[in-house]
Amino acid sequence: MNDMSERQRSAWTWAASLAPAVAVLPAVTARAGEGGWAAPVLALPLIWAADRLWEQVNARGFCRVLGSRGGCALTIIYIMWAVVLGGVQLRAAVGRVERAVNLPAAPWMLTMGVVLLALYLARGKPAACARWALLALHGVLAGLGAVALLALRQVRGVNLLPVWGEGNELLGAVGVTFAVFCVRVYGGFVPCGSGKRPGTYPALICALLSGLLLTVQGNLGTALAAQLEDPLLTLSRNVGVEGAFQRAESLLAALLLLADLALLTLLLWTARSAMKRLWPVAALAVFAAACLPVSAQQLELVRCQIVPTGNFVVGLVIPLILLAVSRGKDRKAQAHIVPENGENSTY
Amino acid sequence: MKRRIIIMYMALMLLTGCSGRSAGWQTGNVTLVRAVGVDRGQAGVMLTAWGGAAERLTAEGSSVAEGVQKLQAMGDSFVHFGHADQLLLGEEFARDGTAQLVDFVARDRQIGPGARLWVLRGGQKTGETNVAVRLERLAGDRESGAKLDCSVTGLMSAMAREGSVAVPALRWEEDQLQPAGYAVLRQGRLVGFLDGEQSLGLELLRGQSEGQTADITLPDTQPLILSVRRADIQCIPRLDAGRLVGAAVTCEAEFEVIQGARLSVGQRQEAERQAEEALSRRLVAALAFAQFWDADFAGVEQMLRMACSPREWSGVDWERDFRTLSLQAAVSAEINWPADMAEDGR
Repeated sequence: MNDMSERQRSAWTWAASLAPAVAVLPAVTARAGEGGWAAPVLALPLIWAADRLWEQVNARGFCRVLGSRGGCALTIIYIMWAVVLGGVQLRAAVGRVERAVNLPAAPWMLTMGVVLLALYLARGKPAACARWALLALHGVLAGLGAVALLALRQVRGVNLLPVWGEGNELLGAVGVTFAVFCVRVYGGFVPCGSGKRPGTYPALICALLSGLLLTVQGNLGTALAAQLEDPLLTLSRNVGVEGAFQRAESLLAALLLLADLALLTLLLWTARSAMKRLWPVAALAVFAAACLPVSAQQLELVRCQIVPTGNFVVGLVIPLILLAVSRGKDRKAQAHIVPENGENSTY
Repeated sequence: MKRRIIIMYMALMLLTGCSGRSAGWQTGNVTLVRAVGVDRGQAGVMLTAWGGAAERLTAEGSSVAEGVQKLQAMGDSFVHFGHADQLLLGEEFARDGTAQLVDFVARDRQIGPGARLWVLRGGQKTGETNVAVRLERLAGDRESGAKLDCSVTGLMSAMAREGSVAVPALRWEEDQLQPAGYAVLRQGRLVGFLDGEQSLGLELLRGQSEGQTADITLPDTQPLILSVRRADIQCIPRLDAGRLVGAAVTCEAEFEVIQGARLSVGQRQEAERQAEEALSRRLVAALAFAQFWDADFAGVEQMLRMACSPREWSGVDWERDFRTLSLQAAVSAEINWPADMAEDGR
């Protein structure tokens, strides 16, 4: 009961990655042209390859590969990046809620509320967090799926054709999609029990995201979707069931807070596993980062360019370097390898 | 555990949600606006809000946002725009004010971007109170009204790609709003109206021609009235040394007879020829106005993009080339003659 299974950890990391995905991908993929909606599906091979890579690189093995100082330095880098990710995503989430509803209080109060809730969830056992995240994942997927289905009948084919676009732009969109999902590398910091990683989550979630992006582009057109700050929210203002409800943006904004919470708890757990008793400082840092006085344009720049680049580095470049260094060391000291004693090291 | 449950329940008591609202916010004390009219006024913008059959509010302001705020402050009840799904733009306002309206609706939390747009030809009529009901009726009637519709999202999308869009137009006739063709907005600005043959041509090009009629006049027999059952439009590019120089807009139409007498073989052939000519005139009229206004409201660019290869399209500068493209219409019509109209041997 207290051990988190591989399935639960996978659900947690996927729930966490949905938060930046739905915030960034609708506008980024629209800029890639009429075929941009397929970026999540096209990024699947990269995601599978990254999963294999992360399996082989043990996040707790930073010290084993780089030595204690190098390992500590790298851990600090990951924690700092986690604070940046948490702050940016939390700021985006509160902004989304503000656009959807008339917030009766100052935004920092909602920010503080979300951070406190994440703090409360992350202080417990990882298995409890993961069980909650599994429910959150299913809830968010169901909500996004419902919005996509309701918006499907308003899709105009002229907004999706021709599918071929500028090849470089589509590659760029695939790259950003993969970079967004690189946030799942933080799942390696959470201790996990045995079990097989479910193979259906990547395909299912990427297919659903592609379907959602298709409805966004099909309804709004690529030019409009690329310009809007939150195309998904604009789309949800258009969907409804006649006679039942007209718009779903406030429901969607509330539901997506679950994904934001899953991301924050994952990042705070990362801090907890590395900083021990000092980990609430990370929560304070996330709150401060989310309340920084930056303009909407600066936030957009950070979300769509700086964050994907950073994710790429922590999720792909550094693990690749660690794997290369680790394999190099293993070859040199083949006779002196000491097997690890009971540490769980797989993602 | 018990303590946690008690704390959670106490926290729930704070989530009443409605505590910020004043005591007067009750369903019986709210004016639900169903349609909003926007036109030029003395102060800048004149807004009219129509609720049910007898509710109507008017306010003026220097901007759409100010006008909406003034409307919300009027009357004895709370004015709620969340159900406004019809926007009626005055002709004068549509000439240069739609960007302001689109920007307001995109940011407003009440009026949704799915609201349907109409352009009113001529001025607003003061005093009318059943506009919302009439607009909803027109929106649902595709047979006698406009077959194409345009929402704020559609207009935003057209403006984002710097394109053009056709919005259904209305006119006051005998104290009632009646369909009056389409208004063409190029980059959000009204450039003109499509009537008669041009509007029918637009519906043909956009694949919404089902139900269009063609009156065929034949000698020695009563008039023949045909109705379009299906019309498939294709755009075939004409290239010269890899450069797009023109396009042939082809239409394969299928008609059914809704009124007519028995006809000879020769008469039926003449009827088919006249039907083809009628559709061809409509296509040419719509395309001619599109090029005259430099407003591709019919989606010719999209059709040509689909028909050209990426390499062929890469050399096209649509903004420069559209006006000078040679567009030709070619129609082939097939009439489904009912058995009682066939006449053997004559």
